[in-house]
Amino acid sequence: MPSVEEGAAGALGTEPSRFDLWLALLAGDRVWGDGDQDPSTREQAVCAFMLVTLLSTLLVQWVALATRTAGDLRQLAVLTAASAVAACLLAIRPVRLLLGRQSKPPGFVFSLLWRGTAYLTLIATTAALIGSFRFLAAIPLGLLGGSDAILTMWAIGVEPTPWQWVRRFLFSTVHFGVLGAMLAALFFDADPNTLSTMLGIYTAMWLGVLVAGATVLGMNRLSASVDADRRRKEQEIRERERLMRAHWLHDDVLSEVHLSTLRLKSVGDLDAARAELEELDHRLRLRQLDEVMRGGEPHVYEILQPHLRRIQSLGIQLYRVPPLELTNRRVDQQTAQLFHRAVSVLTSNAINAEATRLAIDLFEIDDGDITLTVTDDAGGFELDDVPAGRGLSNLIADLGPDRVLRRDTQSGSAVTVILPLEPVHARPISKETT
Amino acid sequence: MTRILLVDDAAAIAELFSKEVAERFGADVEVCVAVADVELMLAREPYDLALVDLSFPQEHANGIDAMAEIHRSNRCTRLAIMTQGDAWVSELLRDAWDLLPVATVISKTAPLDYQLEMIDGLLDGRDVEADPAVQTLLPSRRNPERTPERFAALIQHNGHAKVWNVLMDRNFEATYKNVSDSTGLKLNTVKNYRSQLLPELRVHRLDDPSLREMQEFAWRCRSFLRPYVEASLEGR
Repeated sequence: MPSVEEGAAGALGTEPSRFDLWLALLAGDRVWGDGDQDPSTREQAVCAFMLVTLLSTLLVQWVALATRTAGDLRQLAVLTAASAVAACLLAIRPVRLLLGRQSKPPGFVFSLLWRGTAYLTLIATTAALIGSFRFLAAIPLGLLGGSDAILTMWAIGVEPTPWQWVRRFLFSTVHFGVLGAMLAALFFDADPNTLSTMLGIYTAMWLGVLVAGATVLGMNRLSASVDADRRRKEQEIRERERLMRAHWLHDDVLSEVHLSTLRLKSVGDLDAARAELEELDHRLRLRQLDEVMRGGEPHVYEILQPHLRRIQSLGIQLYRVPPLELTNRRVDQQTAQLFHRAVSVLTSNAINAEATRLAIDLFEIDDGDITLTVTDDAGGFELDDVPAGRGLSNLIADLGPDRVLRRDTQSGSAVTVILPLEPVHARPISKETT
Repeated sequence: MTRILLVDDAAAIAELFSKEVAERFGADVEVCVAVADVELMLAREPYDLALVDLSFPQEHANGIDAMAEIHRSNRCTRLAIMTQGDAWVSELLRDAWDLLPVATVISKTAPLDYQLEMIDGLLDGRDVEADPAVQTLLPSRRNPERTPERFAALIQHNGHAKVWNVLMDRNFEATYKNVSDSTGLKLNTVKNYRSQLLPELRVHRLDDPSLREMQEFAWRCRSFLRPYVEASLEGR
């Protein structure tokens, strides 16, 4: 068995003549997908191109049909209908990808059979319908085949080397067989029409193959150049991020450390010094969370972490926290900010009220809301008594009074905030976080 | 004397922490800063408790490798994870929690007294709840179906073993073509093998994973996967 290293080193494009690779290409990209990944922009662009080529193939057929003066009308109608059905079947996948709809991959053999039949029908009906102008149809069909093949190659991870494939096909037994059949026909049946038809089909076949090869190469190069361009831009963004982080480190972190150092000078005992360092730790964690939230869609557990650490560092007992099943979901940036703010307000209130025990609960409600409850043992309070301008009153003002609830517990209170999982657009959110 | 093994690549912090633990419990605390050295440490007297970090980025190894090694060496050694408990290690933490008899998870950033209290409970043989800050990263209950022995079901025949063998290498670029080339299997065969494994992978909390997700899983759990893969490849 080849080793991993050997395989990885020689993996791309080393065995283009493999029969199973040809079958894999014919089975199509959907077979190799995972069914749950969104299509990339480059895939969608190829799909749009495929639809255009399918339409062009049908257009060439219809133009040829309109200029036709002889032939069995019924036979032509059947051929046209078969061609349209085949084109529609082949259009399903690109349309679904363009709409961003994925589904579970079909079976290999099933996909191979129906796609093989659809392609064969489209090629055969086109060849039959457009008579001596077959080479015209070879162009859109070649473009279609090439763009379909590149989608599958991307899905499997094959580096396309179409010219190598063309060379191999040129010297393959299949090609020599076709040539042999043509020579035999010429030898046994010297009818110029037969020869002309065969030569027409042969030329169209090669034209189609060359166009498909050029399409595969062209699209792959275009994609590579877009990727390179994107990498360059990402590099620039990373560079900017690095500068920003360096600035953040210098301006924020170091000044926070400096501030703590100054405060520590006036601190008399070790406990106060430790408390100061804990506070510094919390501030830095909050800044880290800001960075995580700015970076995209954080998990709920990432938002909870700095608050849980703070509660712990203050010696407050955390007797219940939500498990992974509830915290593993990702939230968008705006929801993350709101959730972070609610956790911050509720836990800070409990800490300021000198709670010694604290629980945090999360529940997801079916209608797209998530409830956050902080239970403490710090006595009770009334929501109406919360002074204006404070964190909780701002939260009530922003979310609405029906979304912030309070109830008494045995030794304290439980405050529940109902947060929309979708971003809040209707109400302005105040900047204050605590 | 109580013997404790601390496996953590952050050497300076590990040394300081080990001194605190040794002082508080009068224990013999040995520090191991590399997963590769764990085997060597285990050749000595058995440990009562092993505190193991999960992330070893410089080493291309992980804490599950270390804990599995310790557990194989001596089943009486209590295992505890010491971690920062962030998104970076969340999947490793979940797998370790499901697959190993991890007694508790200690947060590296918890107050020292709290950490020592947890270690005290572990040395006393008590049940010690995981640090609350880390509990948000743990499932509410362990998956009882998920056991080290269950990994045998991921290698139903030699072909599966070939696929897992290449996926266990984290540096391998996991595409169908590469797996096909490296294993000598046909593309469609690789795809079929993946489909055959999907029901069993659900037991391991993987729902319809891509090849790359299977690779991450194989890397994380290679300590449990490798014996079955090797046995199959050697025809045992």
